[in-house]
Amino acid sequence: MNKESLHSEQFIEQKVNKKQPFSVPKGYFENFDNTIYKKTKEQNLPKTSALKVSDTYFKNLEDRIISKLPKNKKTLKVVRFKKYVLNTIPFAAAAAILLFIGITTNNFKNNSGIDLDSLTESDFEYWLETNPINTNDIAIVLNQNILDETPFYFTQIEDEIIEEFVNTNNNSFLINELDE
Amino acid sequence: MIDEIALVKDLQNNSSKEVAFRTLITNYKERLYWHIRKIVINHADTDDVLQNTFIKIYYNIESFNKQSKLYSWMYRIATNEAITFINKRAKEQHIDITTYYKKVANSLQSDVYFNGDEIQLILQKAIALLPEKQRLVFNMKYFDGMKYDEISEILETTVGGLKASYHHAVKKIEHFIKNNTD
Repeated sequence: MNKESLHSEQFIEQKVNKKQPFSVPKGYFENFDNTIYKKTKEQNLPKTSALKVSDTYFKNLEDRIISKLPKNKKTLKVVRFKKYVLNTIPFAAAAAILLFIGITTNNFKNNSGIDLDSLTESDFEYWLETNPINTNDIAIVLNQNILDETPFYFTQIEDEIIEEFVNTNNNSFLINELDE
Repeated sequence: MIDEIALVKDLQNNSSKEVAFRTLITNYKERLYWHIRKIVINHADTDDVLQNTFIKIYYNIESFNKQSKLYSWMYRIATNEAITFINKRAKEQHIDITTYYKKVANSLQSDVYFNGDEIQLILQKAIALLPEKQRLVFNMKYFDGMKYDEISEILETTVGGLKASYHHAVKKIEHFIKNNTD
């Protein structure tokens, strides 16, 4: 093997000289020390802020904030994450999540009675963190007539419900989609 | 020849750290630059990786194990930084690493910091097709003339494994050059 390697190496050397084909901008190495020195200096800057607040600022802060809340307004409904997921994604996709979590976590190893109610929010969060929902994945598990099987009848959703959904949910993803 | 032991001692001492770090950069910047450049190919990317390498060295010098050589330890950091960098670049472009390397090698012709002739371009294209370990071993042995023992310490691979990788690399490159020249 060594002899063969040597033979190939000699062939390459004969064909291509060992001269370095790459070059660097003029003065690059001369200025490099200063560039890196500056960078380490920047990173040595204190991470704590020099900005201060008055000693009494945090005292009664809760009361001051609460006093500014609008009175007699309709309480905003907080939609629980798990409920949101269950209402938003089709049942077929939910089944896929269930199957995934059942296979990949130890929690369900010996538990044959898995259902959606037995999943905690952290199970859903974990699944979404490790497996962002891909449209192709959903397309695979979706039946063509999925809209007939789920309670989604978009034409029947009233404006008020849509408005409440927009107000109570993080809708930044909608804005991002619009930007695209 | 730099006294590595004394330099490490100074680097690990807060009062002498900055002066020692300057000495370290002055002594190793070019060697590490060319090592990284052969992995990432492009000058601007090499500059980024080299800076990150030195910053990592600066912040991790306390944990440097004096049993190994400072030189090998820095080469290992530089190699890992360079590989992480190209993997990240390939991922950003949604292509695999071989396709990424082919792309980079094909862009060399228009690179102002590439002075090679046609045969050197062919050699770079041949290197681009090698698997990662073979590419690293070939560059370190063929261009830098490093010994297998040194490469073994840097890449944490057995000498036998390195010899086999080098053998496959030179064979493939020879074959590629033969097929792409008259």
